[in-house]
Amino acid sequence: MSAEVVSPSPVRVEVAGSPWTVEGGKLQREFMSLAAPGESDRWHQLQALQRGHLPLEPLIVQLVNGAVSPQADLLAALWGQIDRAGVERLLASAAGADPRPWLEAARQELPRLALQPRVIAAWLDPLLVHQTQVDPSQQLCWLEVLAHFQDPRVAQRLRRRVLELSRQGSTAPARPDGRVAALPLLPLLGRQRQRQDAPLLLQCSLDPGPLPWRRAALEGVALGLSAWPLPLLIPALERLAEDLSPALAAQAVDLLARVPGGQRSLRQLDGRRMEPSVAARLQRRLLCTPLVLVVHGRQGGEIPLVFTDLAQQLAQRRRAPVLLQALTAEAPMADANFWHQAQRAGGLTMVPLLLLPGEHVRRDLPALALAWRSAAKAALGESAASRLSLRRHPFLGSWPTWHALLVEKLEHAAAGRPWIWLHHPLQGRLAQRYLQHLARVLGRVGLAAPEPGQPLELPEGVGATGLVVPLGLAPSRMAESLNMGGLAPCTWEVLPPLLDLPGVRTFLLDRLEALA
Amino acid sequence: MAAALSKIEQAKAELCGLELAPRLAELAAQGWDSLDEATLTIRLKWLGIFFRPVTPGRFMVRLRLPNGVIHADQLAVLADALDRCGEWGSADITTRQNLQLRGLLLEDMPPLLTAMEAVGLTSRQSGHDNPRNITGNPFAGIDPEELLDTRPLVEAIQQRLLAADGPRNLPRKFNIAVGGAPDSFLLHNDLAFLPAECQGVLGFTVMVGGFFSAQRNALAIPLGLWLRGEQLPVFSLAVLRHFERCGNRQARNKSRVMYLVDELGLEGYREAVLAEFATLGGEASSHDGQHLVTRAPRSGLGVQPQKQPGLHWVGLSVPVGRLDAAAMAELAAVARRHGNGELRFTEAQNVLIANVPADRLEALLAEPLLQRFSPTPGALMAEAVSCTGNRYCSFALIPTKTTAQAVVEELERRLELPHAVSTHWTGCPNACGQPYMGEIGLMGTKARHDGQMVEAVKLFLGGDMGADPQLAELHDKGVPLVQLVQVLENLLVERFGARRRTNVG
Repeated sequence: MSAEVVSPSPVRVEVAGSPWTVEGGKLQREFMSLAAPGESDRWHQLQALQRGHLPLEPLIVQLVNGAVSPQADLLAALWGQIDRAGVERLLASAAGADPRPWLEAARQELPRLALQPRVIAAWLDPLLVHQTQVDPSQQLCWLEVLAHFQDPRVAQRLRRRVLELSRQGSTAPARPDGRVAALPLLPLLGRQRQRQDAPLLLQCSLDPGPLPWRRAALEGVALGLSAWPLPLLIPALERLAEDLSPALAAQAVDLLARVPGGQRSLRQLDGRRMEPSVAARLQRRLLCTPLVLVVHGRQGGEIPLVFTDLAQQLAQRRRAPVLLQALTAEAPMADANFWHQAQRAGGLTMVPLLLLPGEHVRRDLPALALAWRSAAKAALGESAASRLSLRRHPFLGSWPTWHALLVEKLEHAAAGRPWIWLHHPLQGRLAQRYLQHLARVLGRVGLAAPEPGQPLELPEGVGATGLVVPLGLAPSRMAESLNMGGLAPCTWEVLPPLLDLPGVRTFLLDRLEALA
Repeated sequence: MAAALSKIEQAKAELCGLELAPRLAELAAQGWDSLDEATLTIRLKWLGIFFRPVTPGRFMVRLRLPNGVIHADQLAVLADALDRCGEWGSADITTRQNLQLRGLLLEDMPPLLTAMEAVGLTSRQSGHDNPRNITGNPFAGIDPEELLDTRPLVEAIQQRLLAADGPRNLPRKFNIAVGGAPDSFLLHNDLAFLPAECQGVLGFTVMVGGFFSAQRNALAIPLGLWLRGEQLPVFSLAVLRHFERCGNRQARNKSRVMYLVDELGLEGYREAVLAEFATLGGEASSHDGQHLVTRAPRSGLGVQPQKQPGLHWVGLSVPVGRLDAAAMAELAAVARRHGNGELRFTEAQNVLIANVPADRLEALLAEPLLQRFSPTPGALMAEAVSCTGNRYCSFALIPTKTTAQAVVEELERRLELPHAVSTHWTGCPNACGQPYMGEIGLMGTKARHDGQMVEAVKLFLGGDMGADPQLAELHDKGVPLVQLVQVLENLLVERFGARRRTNVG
């Protein structure tokens, strides 16, 4: 198709029920081949137009002189092809009068095309001019078209309009609410990502008003999320998370879960009065911190398999890293993923899977905590590390739920037989008080394990058969020497390590999974 | 002088999208509006991340699920990601046994990709000019009728193609599939390996060139080569390397591999591929193209005995393949409760729960989730396949999924059908919903009705995926959606043996 069409006297031709004005013989034939709306070839032809495979000028001429109506699908195909001069001609003509097909076409194509420098150069300035020149009743529609371009001048117009509508809503609530028609402007304002718009969007979300308006404002917040200043964003989202509208509250919870430091806010919200579905959502958004499970370990730093299995299963359940730290070995290496998750969750958690308050609990654990703080600084830098909390849980042997479980499991394992429990020898007043307490809980005094190689001497009168319970989660020298070394009386059964008992393993998995 | 590269080719040549992976968090923090168009709409697809113009700012992630296999732990991770998107979150089971998640913010991508990696999932190279998700027999490994287990083969092909020296800049997308059962219809793929014997040995005959598009539709044709299973990964690599080097980069609508076959001639193409294969140390046998695929695909719905005694799979109909976070989480939980956590997606956009012991069947069938995803759907719903439609795709001319579901439900209310009838719905001529494969194909269009332009469909009839495959042909070029139920009702009665229910109010 040639571009030498200048005939001022258009000839009207009917093509497949659609009027086309064409200008000149050759051109006429080619335009006649362009399918009318509804014709099966139109889709293919518009795809070709969109890809630059059809000449533009004749179409622009037809649109300008009104021979071709500016249908949305045709305009959508033009966005990426036309130059500034063509845009100005179109907008100044009758084709630029009705904004509705333009808006439909803009919604379809501009989210992608408005990023192209060529498209911006062709459209932005003419649209900025056009939007101010049209009838006021059409300005809103043209503003929405314009708002697909990210530009400070566009943001300013959007901001002004949103502000006006917002004020109208609060000062004249009886008047017809113009906000409903302007809902699309709010996400578009968010997409402009101008930091100064955070207060306006957040206020529109928070202020009483039509729910669709508030939700559109919150979607604007979502679409520009990383642009907003956190000191403004987080408190506003915290308030919204307690909003009476479950839809708003739910999205606020989801957004809090995405922003740096949001986990802290979610934890503060945990337990507050919320609509049940929002409270459930909040629980789902609370991220688990990476866990450091401190275990005794064996000589040489070897970690029993039962612990590694437990850690693996726990990591899967928590969807967070779980490290095992043996007291007899060097600290484990925390990789980038560990620190990444720690940052997202706002901290890390140390849980000593130790059963007795021996030297390790009293002296080693504080030292380990200090070492993890230093490791965080080394990995993340002083500033980021200062935002991480290190949560230290009491040693396992002090958990009341653990005591209850021990009573249940040991009574069950003994099955009516006499039983005794053994512990590693402990020193110090604190340790002795603990042993006395555990003796009360278990209903019998514990025995210190015999020195290596020495036979176990049972208290008098306990009976000929029974159960020996070495108080340990994993295989240990004490338990092995009782069993394999034949140091326990042969008529007494030695209970396997506690973690081999299904109930104990399940208990630990459940409790550790539930930790924040 | 060499022809100038197109915009897409320039973007691909300048930077491979895979290079964006380490910078993803930084890009997300900048905001998607600050990305250049090539990064936003082209390169991110190498990471499986899709900008959606219909929902700007809400992105899609398309996974890779070789052979459509997914575990409950993996599905739960994806459900959690969608759950964070609230009402924006949804997922589609695709016609490539795959899953795509919608409604995500760009900020969601770095943690999602990390979480996916932790459970063994990837979305790498799942879109644009890449080898797409590789499909296989959805019942592989559990199918009493299977000729061979396609899962390890599909997995091995994927690993080879995604390796460091795999293709990263194809001229166009590329679909690969491996058949393992007598009902493995795969001729719509660029490269299909169909089970076939050669001198008494079970292997694969190679079919090439199948694809659907707005310009042309073709079923794959025999290349005249036979391979052993272990040769498939390297042979696939050879085909793709040749395609990468020789495919048409000037006209994207003429660059699928069938055009290369046209250009070189079948023999010339075969010689070229064999030469490429030889450089990788491979050698293929000649073959007459006869294969062991003899009938149309089974739906796999309902309770089906596995080849492992005492175990069953339960196929559930997911209406038009659409899922949400709650349904995905519940599917994962049900698969864990009653099976071993393994699930499969089918090309008909349904889901199977595998490895269910006989004594768990009753409890599984009583699960509330099965009220929504029925193991015994109606004869139309069972095989209703649909593309995304204009809710998420700017090409689509109609809302295919919602229309398909509403129309099928209404037809099932009105009619009794003696057997399943496949309906394939697609929103535009790009034919992602494979309308030419359905017994009834429906393609979105516009038509005049009462003087107005309205949403409509073109109707295609006669698609057959059986022993003598046929593409459906145009039957009606524009049925307005408002008349569609009535038109289809008449068609089903006249041509598919449907009977009108007498008690319809």
